[in-house]
Amino acid sequence: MSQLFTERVLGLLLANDNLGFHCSFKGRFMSLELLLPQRTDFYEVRPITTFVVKVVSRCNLKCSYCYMYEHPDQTWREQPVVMSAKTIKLLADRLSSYIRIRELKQIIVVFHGGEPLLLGAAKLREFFTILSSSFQDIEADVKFGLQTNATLVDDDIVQVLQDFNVRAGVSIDGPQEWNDLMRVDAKGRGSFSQIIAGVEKLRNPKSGGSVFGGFLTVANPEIDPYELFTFFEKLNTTAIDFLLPDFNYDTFPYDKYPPGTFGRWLSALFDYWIASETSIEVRIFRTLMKLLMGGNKGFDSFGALSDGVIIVETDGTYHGLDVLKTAYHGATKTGMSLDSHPIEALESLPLVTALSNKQFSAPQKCLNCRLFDVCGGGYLPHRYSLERGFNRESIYCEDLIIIIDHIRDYLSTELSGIS
Amino acid sequence: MTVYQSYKPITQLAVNDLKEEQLQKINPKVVVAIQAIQAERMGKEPIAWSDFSSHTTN
Repeated sequence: MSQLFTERVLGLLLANDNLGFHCSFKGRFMSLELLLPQRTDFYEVRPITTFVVKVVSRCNLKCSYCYMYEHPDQTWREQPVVMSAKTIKLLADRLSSYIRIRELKQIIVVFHGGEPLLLGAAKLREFFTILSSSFQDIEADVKFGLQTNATLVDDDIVQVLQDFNVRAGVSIDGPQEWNDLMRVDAKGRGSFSQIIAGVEKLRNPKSGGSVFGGFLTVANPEIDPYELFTFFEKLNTTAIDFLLPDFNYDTFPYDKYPPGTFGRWLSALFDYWIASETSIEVRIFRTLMKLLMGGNKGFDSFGALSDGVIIVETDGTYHGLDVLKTAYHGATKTGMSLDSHPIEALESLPLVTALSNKQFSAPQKCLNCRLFDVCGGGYLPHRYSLERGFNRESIYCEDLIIIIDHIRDYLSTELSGIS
Repeated sequence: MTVYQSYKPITQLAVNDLKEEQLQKINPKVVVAIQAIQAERMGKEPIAWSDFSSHTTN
């Protein structure tokens, strides 16, 4: 009997709301499923449609909060620096087979890192060529994306993105004085100027249309919400998302951020956004509005249901959501790889189901909550503590209630006229 | 039209039945969210909705 199977059985045996957990497995691979509540009555296999591919396991920046390098998980040290063409081909074959077997209409493959642009333009083109040619005879809509810090964008890279219809999402933390506090290189030098130069290239290529997707920004209540919002307006961006910092019960800076700080900050940001003439899409606000008005599907951070997601590391191993690296070393490991298992084998993993069907692993307190369909119990990494594993509401529970109720109140007023 | 007030939907939106003149009375940003619900119910919501890096075409 494999260790993985044994641990899964143990995980099921341990599914008990009143049970406290202690990570007594230090020093060996501990399946995250041991720490997940698992409600078999809510078990449902949902197809995986989002594939995050770690084409590079290193980064040219050293952001102080990075979930890849600056948290307990250090498995990146074991990974090849760059994914090989052979692994990309194997991924393409696995994906083609999976799309056919599940008769999927669409999937998205997102190049990620580390910093994926460390590949360089030639390798980037080679990888997208391998993937594209494998999907030529497939009817499904296969989209490509890329998440980058934009500091390495050049004209050749932009051309590759254009040729393969890839949109690039860019990480930035707001105005320069804020961005350069944490988004720094190994010598502590800020990255703002390089990011803006890279975004300019993505938005305004020498020929053809923009390949810029939008900004990802870590929420920072120390920045004035109006200042932040107008900063993005001036950049003429079309889409932003604000991400709650990847704290859990063991790492949250309670002294710095009293409960509700992020909820109130997001509410103020929402008020500026909703009242403005801007056409900027803000994913968190749009998604919350959609879920509040009866939409079903959110994404990994919000909503009771979302598309399944899996991570493929540079060595071809399958991993769970990468942000779970903030919990403990080895938290994302599945024990499976492109070499050993087809993608179908991943669908039934509790680690995958916990993200696509939040009822499956939600704490009882969340299941009883009036807002569960909207918040989904919060982002799984934010539910972790050494003491109780993931069997607890989000560390941001109070913040989520504040922002969700705030948007609900706005919608109630806005929609009252057309009842 | 109802916005979720308690455990069940804050609003029981009959989004599929909304008329154009009704949508014109609503903040366009809310309309975008309503259109996403309509697309989801028809099975036509782009997967890119949930992936940030490629969900826009600016």
